[in-house]
Amino acid sequence: MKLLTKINRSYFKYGILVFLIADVVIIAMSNYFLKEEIDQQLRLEAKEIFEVLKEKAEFQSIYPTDIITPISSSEIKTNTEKDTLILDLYQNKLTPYREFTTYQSISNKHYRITTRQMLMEFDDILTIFTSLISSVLLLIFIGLLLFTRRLNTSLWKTFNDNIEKIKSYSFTPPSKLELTATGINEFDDLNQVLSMMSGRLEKDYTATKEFSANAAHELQTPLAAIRNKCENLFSDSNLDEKTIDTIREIYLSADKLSGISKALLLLAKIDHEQFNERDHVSLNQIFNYWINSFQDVIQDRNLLVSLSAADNCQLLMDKRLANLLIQNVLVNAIKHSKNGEEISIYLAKDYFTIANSGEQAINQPEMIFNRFYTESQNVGSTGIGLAIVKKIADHYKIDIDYSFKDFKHLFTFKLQNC
Amino acid sequence: MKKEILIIEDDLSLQKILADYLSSCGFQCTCAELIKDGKSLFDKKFFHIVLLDLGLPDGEGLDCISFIKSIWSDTGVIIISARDKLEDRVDGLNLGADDYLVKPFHLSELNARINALVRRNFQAENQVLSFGELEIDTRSHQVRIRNEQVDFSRKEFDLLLYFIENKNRVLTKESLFEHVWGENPIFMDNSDFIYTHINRLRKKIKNHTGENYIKTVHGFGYKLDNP
Repeated sequence: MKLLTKINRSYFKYGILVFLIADVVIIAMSNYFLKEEIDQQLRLEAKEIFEVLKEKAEFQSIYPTDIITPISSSEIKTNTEKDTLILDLYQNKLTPYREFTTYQSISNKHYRITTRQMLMEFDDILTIFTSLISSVLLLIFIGLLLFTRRLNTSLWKTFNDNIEKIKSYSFTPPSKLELTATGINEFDDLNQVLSMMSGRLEKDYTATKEFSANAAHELQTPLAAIRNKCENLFSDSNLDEKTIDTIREIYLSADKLSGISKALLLLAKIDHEQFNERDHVSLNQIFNYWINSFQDVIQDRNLLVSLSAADNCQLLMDKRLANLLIQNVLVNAIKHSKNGEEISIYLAKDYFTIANSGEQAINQPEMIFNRFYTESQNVGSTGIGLAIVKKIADHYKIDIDYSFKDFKHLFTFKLQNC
Repeated sequence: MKKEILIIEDDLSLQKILADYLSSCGFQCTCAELIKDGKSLFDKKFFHIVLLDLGLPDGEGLDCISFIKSIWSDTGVIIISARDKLEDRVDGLNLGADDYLVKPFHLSELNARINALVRRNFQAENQVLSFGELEIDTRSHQVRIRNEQVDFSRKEFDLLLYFIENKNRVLTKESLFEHVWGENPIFMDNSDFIYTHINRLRKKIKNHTGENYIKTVHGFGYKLDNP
């Protein structure tokens, strides 16, 4: 909900409450003051009648407003003021009246003087005041609404501009987050916090990136030293069997370590969006390229690789990542195929599948995309190839589905950005 | 005359390994840890090849390339870096480097690359290498055994050339695979695969000479050796 809508709604709710209270209070008060006023008039009238009586010794009663009744002295009471209902002969209904009764004596003659005045019916009071109050409040509300709307646009303009700036803000390519000062303390505070945060994030980001690059450098150089030392040892002919095996193991471990660190760096780089070029890549072409480059291995293992394409799918993604994806997918299939088996690749419009034969389904299919998970105790298998596949797939929102049917592992890649 | 190589590498252990190895291959090596030192050495003397690390304590190795090329355009620059080739390789080659090796690399691979570069830049007239009864023309890609021309496939030729450039040295299966079939990013067990190809090559040579030139070195790999 927009802030303005929210504020207006609260105004509205609050306004209704104020209106109810104001209505009751105003009606009660005006009722009270009206009666006071009427009572005063009635007293005055009674006094005037009394004056007339004193002068002329008689007064013609007018029903129902001015009534003079001669009474005996025993009937004299104190003055009273009260509400009463009187049958209106013309309208033939009971009408509320205010009534004042006073007792007066003029030269031993006693009179009861009653003056009355028609009262406004309560219904009428309610209707009049309620409509009056509500129309005034409504006017105020509408005025406020229009005013805040206008104010809103000017107040929020810089804020909205800044939001746009933040939206387009990114680390790659690096740009400094420069927010416009709004002149409103709250917004400026927010700007300051955001600027500080972005500065910190930028620093962290660069630090992580540098760390990645340094890690590669610092790790690979000693690894190169280990491996090259081993290579020097290979040329030494006076080694016994056990030493040879040990050196070979050191050599292979250094190799593996270097491969793992490279792969981890690659994963980190994908995370850091360092591969965010966008090209139209043809899966068909890439598959063909890699099948071709692994041709010797494929031939050596007597594998039969078939590639059929129903639709030449053009993916919009970074070319390097597309190559890595396909390469690793293909290598995984080659690696886990026994000699003489078949690998079939099928490219459709919005998905592609790769199938290779196997004896049994993968025990924990959900695990195979995790780093360092390997099903078989295959020497040299680090399980990182599929982690790279998964990472790239996630990066481009490609769903990977695994199934095992007719002694075939089938991986389906559902594409979204064809 | 020995070919001169300048190694600019800040890791002293690797620097020593490279220098020792290349000296044993018949090169004259000079080492520098910093770009500054490398530049002053280069100012005084001509080097055929410069091995250049990228992330050096006093700067970026990439910036060095144009300096080197501006003084001796014939000098071959080989970048040796741990950095990912996906980004830096392109940069390096654009700036005029002749080759790029990603650490960790095989020493035999480095040797082969240096030799290829030396042949290209300084020995245009001498493109034929030989070992025993084997003769290989690097320009026309022809192989002669006992003065008789023998057909070699591209991959077989690459293998043989690699062996001859690293004659009498042990080549591991990994290094052989990487040299001929490219980087092996997936730790595939290629022992059998390499064995098949080496065997094919071995037989081909044996058919013409009756001798086994390619020896198996148990546990390590293969070696081109006089029968």
